[in-house]
Amino acid sequence: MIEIQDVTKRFGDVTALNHVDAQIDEGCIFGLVGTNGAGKSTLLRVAAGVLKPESGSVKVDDTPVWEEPQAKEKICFLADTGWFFPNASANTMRDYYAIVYPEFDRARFDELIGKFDLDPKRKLSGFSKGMRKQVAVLLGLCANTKYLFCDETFDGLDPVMRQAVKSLFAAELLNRKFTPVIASHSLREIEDICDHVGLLHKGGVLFAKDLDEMKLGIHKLQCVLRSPQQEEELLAELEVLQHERRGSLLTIVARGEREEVNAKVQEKEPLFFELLPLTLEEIFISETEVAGYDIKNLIL
Amino acid sequence: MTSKISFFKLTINEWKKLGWLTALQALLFAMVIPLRLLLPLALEKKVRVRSLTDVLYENVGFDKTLTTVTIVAMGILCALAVFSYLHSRKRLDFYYSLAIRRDTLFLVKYTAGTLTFVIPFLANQALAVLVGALYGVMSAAVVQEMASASLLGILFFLTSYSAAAVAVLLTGKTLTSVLAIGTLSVYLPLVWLVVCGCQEIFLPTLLPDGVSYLGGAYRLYLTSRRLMLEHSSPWIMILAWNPDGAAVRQGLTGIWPDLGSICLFLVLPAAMTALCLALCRVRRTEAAGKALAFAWTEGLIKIMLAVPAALFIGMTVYEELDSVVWEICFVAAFGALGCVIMEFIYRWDIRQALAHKWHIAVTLALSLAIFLIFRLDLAGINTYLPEKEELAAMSVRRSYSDFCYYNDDGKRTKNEQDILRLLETDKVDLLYPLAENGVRNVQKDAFDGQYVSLNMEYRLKSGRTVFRSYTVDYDLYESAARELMQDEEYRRRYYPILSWDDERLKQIEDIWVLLPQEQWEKFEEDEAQEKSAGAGKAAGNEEFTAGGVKNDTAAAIDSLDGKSGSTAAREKMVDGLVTEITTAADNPDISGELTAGAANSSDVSDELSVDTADNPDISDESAEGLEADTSLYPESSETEEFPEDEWEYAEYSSMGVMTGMTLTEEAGRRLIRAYQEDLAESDGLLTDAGSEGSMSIEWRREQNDPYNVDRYLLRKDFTRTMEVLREAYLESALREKDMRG
Repeated sequence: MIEIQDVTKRFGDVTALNHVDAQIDEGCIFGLVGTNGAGKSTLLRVAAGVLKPESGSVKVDDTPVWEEPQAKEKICFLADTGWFFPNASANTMRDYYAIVYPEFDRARFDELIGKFDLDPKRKLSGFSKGMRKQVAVLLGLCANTKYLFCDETFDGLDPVMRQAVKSLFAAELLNRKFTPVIASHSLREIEDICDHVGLLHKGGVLFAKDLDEMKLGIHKLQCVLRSPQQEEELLAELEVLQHERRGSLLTIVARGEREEVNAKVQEKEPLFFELLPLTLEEIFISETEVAGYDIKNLIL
Repeated sequence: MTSKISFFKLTINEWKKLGWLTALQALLFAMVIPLRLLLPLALEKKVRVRSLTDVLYENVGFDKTLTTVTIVAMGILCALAVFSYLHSRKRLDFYYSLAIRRDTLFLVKYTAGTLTFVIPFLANQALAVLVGALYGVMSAAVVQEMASASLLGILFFLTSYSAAAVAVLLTGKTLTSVLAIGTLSVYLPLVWLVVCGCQEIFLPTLLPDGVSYLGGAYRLYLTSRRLMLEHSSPWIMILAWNPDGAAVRQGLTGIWPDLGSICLFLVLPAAMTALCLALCRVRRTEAAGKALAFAWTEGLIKIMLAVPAALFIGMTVYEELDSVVWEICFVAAFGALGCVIMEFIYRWDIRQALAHKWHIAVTLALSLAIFLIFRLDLAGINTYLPEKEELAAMSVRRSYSDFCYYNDDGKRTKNEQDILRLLETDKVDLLYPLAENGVRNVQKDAFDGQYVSLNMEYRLKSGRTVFRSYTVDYDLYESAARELMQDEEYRRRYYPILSWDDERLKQIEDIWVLLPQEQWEKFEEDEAQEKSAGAGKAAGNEEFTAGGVKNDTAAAIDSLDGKSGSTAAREKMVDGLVTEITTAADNPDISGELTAGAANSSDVSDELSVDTADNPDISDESAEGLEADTSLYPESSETEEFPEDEWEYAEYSSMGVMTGMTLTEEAGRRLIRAYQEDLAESDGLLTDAGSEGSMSIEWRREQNDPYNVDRYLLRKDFTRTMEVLREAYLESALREKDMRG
């Protein structure tokens, strides 16, 4: 488990992280979302022991991560601007990772690099951005660390490769103790892989929740009721996060059990009623609005 | 907590990645070590002018400047290359996320960088041994010296490398690292020069401790300041290092660098590496990409650089402008400009050049305050004059006096303050007017003939001593000095030669007498007259006729030039000023390089911040003005005889016509005794105005001591001295005549 406690990080006059508290449980895929400059990379760099926070601490399995090899050996950090040695090939990097990550699985790396159709002897500087990302992810996966921090890793991967990488993550989750933390500015990029999501905004975590919990507890419904009075009654009875009226069509996003919401609408004998699937984006917008933030325009 | 990452494996991996650096150094050291030995050996084997052993000694072992410079440069290059990761956010993200402490990572990199030097360096040293062995000139002693020199080379590298690593850690960009290395190298010497310059220009009366005089005209700074300069940066320390004058010949002489200097180069890199590790721990990752790694150093460094720059400008424009207002404007403008330039270097954004205005304010305040303290003498240095009643003693000395004084503990001193202490007198009433006059003449030029430059000491009754350098009316000084010299005890203190006994005379190695051409011609005329008077008595000396002596003497000298097995004098003009005299039979290779000018300033050479006499690569270019050090010439396996059987003297004329001849030891002794008598009986004033020439006496107590050169002025009324010189001249001419015969 990774515990982030009251972490503050400043770069000169800019406060990148402002008293951030978060917890990342083992065995989940944690998505860290936020706009550019929200502090995602900074949080990951602090968590990886690259940056020293001004205050607070990050603990990995109860061990502070700052300058503690025992904690850091459980982490592999793939930075957004991945770096490879000059003139290095995938094999060169593999050899280096084998030194710095004692559990590195060379055979698996060789196997995967073949499956991804990447030439292990070719200089990485000659690879495309997406191919270099693939090599970085494969190196990170084969490092066999308990935690894998991926900063904007999926940015630059084509949909096929993204699915392939997601499959690999899923396989890893099944096979060993593995907790990837994926930072991205795009909810759509990670919504089908993450089961936990934390939202960072202006250096603070707005919330961090289980995605299924959020999906189960929030519902979007559209209905046409017989009178405005019934509409008022329904809005009062439901725990409404958001509602919108277009003509006679009322769209509501409400919190609660699915059956409970369904029953309350049916009581009004609507002329039309339908429960719609919620996108992660809509869930976030709703949640953040409740939290008092208007970030509709911040998340794509 | 320990990491499971193998330090050894990681180091080897890092070293492999630095293959280009290893290859570069292998190439450079191949040129500097084995090839530099191979080429002259191959050449020498063909031409056979010198022995191959001599060539070997010239090119291997300690104190090879080219090798040392290459080592220093490679230390800097390695640090810039190896620790460049500290300047890259991408690389820091990578390295600092590894399960290894950042100081351990630094050590991994440090060790890998060291290997890039050590392996090619040692390999090339081994190649040099092989080259020497192939030519059959290698010996166990030389191999031993080369091994020691190699170890010292590694210490030099570690020193340069560690110092450059400190600069890299203190900065966040490679460009600023390079600037920081340059600044750290020369900052203290430059600040020292600015401070000395301000003192010389604005506080001409100040006589700091540790000052000596070269020919009375140029101030030299002695041990403490020299030591400060030589130790002002690790790189300067390396380049200024010399194995106590034992350069080059260690393979023969068995003289090794002193343990202290070796220990220094052991401690220094260790201390700087420890500093690096400490910096690693506190250095923020986000420092990468910034000009300086520690924000708090920005203002400090800016001010530390801008203030001396502003003072330098103030000092420079002083002579031209002579206007306090304009000088203040220049100091302020250049102080501010310095800050702006530094801020630009920090931000690399011209729009932010004026940021941190308080830095500019502090710089201006400090620059102007220091400048005005000097310029307006706010400390009252130039005008200081204690009340006569406060004084217990005073002393005065003309700076143009090149004698060696010895302290009470028997140690030689050239420190002007020490010498003034030795010359103290309680005749305050006599000397006080000189001080008053000096205070009034602060802006006067001592070299226009009307004035004389004097150094004075005030010893106050409180025990405090104050030293000043004044420009005093010559007449005033002369009358005071004349009275002081009446006191025989004072005169003996003032002129150490008056106390020279037989023991000291045995320590003399050479005497150079410089007289005007007319005086020598007069001697020749005297000789001719003597010959005429004694014609017929000297059978076989028919060439030795009146008017032909000089030509005959010169002819004799020419015929003996470096060829005779007996003593010969050789004349040679060097730039029309310096004459060269050699004792060919005694030491043909060494003495041929001795120059009168060099010998006359031999007591100066050890004061130079870098003693080039110990540095063969430099000394060839700068022999003039330096002590002639026989250790420069490795081919000579014989030690210099001490004392020599004969003393030498030369004459110099303003026309640049020179002759040279030798002086027997007995004649030299007579010369000193005659001079003692003449000086004791005279009014005791040795001044340029009344001088006929000068006599420089080179002597040293022990063979390994540095040379002393005492220079005494000759006066026309020193009749005994002149007579001895005349006799010696005639003796010399006769001797040479005999040799020719």
